[in-house]
Amino acid sequence: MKLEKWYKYKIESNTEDPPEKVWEEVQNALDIDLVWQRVDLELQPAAKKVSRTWIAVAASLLLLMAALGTLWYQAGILRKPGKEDAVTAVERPAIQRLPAITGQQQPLITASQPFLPITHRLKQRLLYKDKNTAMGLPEDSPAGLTIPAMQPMTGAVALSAMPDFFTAADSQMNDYPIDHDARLISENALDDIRSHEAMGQQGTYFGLSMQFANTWLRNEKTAAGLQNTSLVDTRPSFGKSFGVVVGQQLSKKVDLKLGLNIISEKSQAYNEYLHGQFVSTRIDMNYTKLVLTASYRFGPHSPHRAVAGLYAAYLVDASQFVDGMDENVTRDYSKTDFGLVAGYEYVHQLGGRVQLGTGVYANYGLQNVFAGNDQLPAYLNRTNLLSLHAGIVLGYAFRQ
Amino acid sequence: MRKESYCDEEIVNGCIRNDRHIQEVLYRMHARKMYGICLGYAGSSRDLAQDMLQEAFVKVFRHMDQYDGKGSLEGWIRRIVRNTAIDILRKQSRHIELIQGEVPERHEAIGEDALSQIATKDILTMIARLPKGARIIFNLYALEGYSHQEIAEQLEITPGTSKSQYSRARHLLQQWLQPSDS
Repeated sequence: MKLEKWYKYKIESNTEDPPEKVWEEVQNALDIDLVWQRVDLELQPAAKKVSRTWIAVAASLLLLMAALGTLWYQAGILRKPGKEDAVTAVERPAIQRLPAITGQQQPLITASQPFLPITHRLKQRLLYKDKNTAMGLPEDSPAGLTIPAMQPMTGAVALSAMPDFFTAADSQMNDYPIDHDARLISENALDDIRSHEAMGQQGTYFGLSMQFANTWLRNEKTAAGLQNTSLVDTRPSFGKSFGVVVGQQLSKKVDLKLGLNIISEKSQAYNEYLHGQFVSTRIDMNYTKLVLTASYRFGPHSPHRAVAGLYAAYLVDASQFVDGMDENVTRDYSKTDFGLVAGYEYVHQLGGRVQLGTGVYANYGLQNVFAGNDQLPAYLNRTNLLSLHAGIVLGYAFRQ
Repeated sequence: MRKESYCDEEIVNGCIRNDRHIQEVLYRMHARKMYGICLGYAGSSRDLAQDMLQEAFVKVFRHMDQYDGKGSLEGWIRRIVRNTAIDILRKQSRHIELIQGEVPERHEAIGEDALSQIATKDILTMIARLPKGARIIFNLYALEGYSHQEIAEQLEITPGTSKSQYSRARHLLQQWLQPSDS
């Protein structure tokens, strides 16, 4: 008889019954399951509240995406002439001479001087240089701006194409002829130029990022561990991140950035009483993280930026260290996490196209990362990942 | 009075309903055989084998709704028992201990008469002497009929390692099973 056959026969024809306590323990575990099911039923109203929270989060995300989409669309309009700009972005006449205007006269502006593109939304802000007083306009009207020489424009445009402007200033203009130096100037158009210039310098950039974070696996136990009366003592825990960043300037004040943190460590250490002993426990989690943020500059050339966005993370592995013994607990945690990011950045121009960004960021995980195990279902140990990061990004800007 | 004979479908539905009587019927039907398998993996450590059996049956009852009726119910339970046993052994230590050193000299096949005189508890004692990794490989091959490729995939080792460890384990067992000259 072959050894394998004989072994299989011997094992499968085992005559030894397992002790009765095994069945009792199985029943106990099944009874505990029933208790959890009842607790679950009791907690259903709370679950509805949670679902409302999720709806709110989803709505916020949609709002954020819509805002980003709008910014992107506007950036597109600024970069290339669109339908609305057709009247103004084409060769547009600048004022060379504006003859005296009578009440019935259709003012015509002829031009051979350089002039700025103007959009309809900017018409009401058209100003006559140095003519505010003469025209009886308020002294604080935005005027007197000078503009650099632009592409020469030819042709003519009737002022009736700008009705809003003349609604406001018609009577004064009729009384006060405009002199030769009159220029139509758009304050916003000037800003647009600066924006274009800025984008020309920093349209797209690429960088390497490094972050050091104080991380927190926030659940009932670690939260209680912050109180003096608790037997659990939650200790500060830290992790590091490394990755790459790609950014695109959407407008003069808004950038969109996509970061990939190839390594993103989360950790939580605490001391607790376990089997009558005060033992040290630590959970280490390694993620790969994708971060999408929009940053807002406080001024067109300001180095200060406010940052907000979202992240999505994939759990690579998780380990738990209890009193020196390590155990792989990857199965106990969800493979994915996502959440919100907010922070502040200060960007140093190092010269040329190289810049160094420093910043602090707060991450708030929206998902319960504890997936549950045989001892504890997921919903009874809700765990969210929170972290406060200090980081640097060394970036290189590409010219558009 | 409750009947004591049920078809698989009645048992499966009863277990899904959490009918404790049906669950007990299922347990009593398979406990002894599955305990033998657990003993094979635990290597005569009865406490460990009982832990394996308990955890496996809890899983069986918790996940009974996932049994799709394809294949026998016993085969499905057996698969859970086997995977649970391997998981528990893995949790004990991350590394699979293997037989190190030279392959023992080849021994002649043991006669049928000699084998029939060996009690189950004796073979379990010998199995227990094998390093944990080699014991798992031997059980997967001899007891479950796995190929070395399948064993390699399950244990995340190479098929060559599985083959050589099985061969070494087999030789060692043959050596230990040989009746002493005295």
